[in-house]
Amino acid sequence: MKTKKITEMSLLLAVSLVLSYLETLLPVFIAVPGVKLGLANVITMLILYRCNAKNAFLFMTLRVVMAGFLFSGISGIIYSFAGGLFCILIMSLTKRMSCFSTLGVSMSGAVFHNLGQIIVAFFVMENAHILYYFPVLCLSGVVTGLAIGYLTKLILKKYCKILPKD
Amino acid sequence: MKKGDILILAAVLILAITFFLVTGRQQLGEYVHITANGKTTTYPLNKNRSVKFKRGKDGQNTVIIKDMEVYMESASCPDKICVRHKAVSKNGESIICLPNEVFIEIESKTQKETDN
Repeated sequence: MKTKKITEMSLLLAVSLVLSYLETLLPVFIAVPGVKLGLANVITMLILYRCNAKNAFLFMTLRVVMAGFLFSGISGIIYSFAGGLFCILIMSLTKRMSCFSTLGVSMSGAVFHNLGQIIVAFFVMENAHILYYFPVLCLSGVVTGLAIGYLTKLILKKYCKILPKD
Repeated sequence: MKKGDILILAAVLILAITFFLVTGRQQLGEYVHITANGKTTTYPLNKNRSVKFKRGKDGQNTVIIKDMEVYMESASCPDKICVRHKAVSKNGESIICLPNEVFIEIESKTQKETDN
């Protein structure tokens, strides 16, 4: 990895941690368990679009571990990592398909993020009833995914103007 | 917004709404009312236990509450319909042992609250 890229990635990592913190300040999204805006996903998508899935995965792992220790604790890391893994897998897939814009990529990512988390919850709690919660998370996922996708579209445009791809 | 985006949005919305419509009436239960010998007792589903009911000389039913589900483990009745009945866990579901007059019904508290 080039020095320039390392610098860029660590800068984005710092930004995403701030975004994670900002998100804990939004009381609306704390009210319903599992429902999150996913602001930090803007950065993950930014890296996915500018670099590749491998870099996005590396970034997600670092972000999840750091944000976990800062805000949510060890058990939160397991959930976030599973969600992030699912999210990046589906996003790198949908990104390749020409019929999806950032909106579709973000929505699929959000829904799969929730899917990953609920699968972990299923194994941790050993309770199948938790799966009934998935549709609620799906709905919130498409709504927040839509917002995040649009935000990413705007930011990606400006970001590439300031820092062109090499 | 591209075609695929709309497709995802529509697919998830339709799936979620269908799910709500299908399971909307079948809320998960929280309590079980067991009526035996004309007396009704209510137990919470979140605590595992086994309850025995005696009726007359040799009438007996054993009800098991386990993992938020209720089932009849054994019964002295001849037809054993209640024993073969699948475990119940959703609001409104019931198991009835007619010969021994044992009636098990699931109720969710949330349902009751909306009724009031």
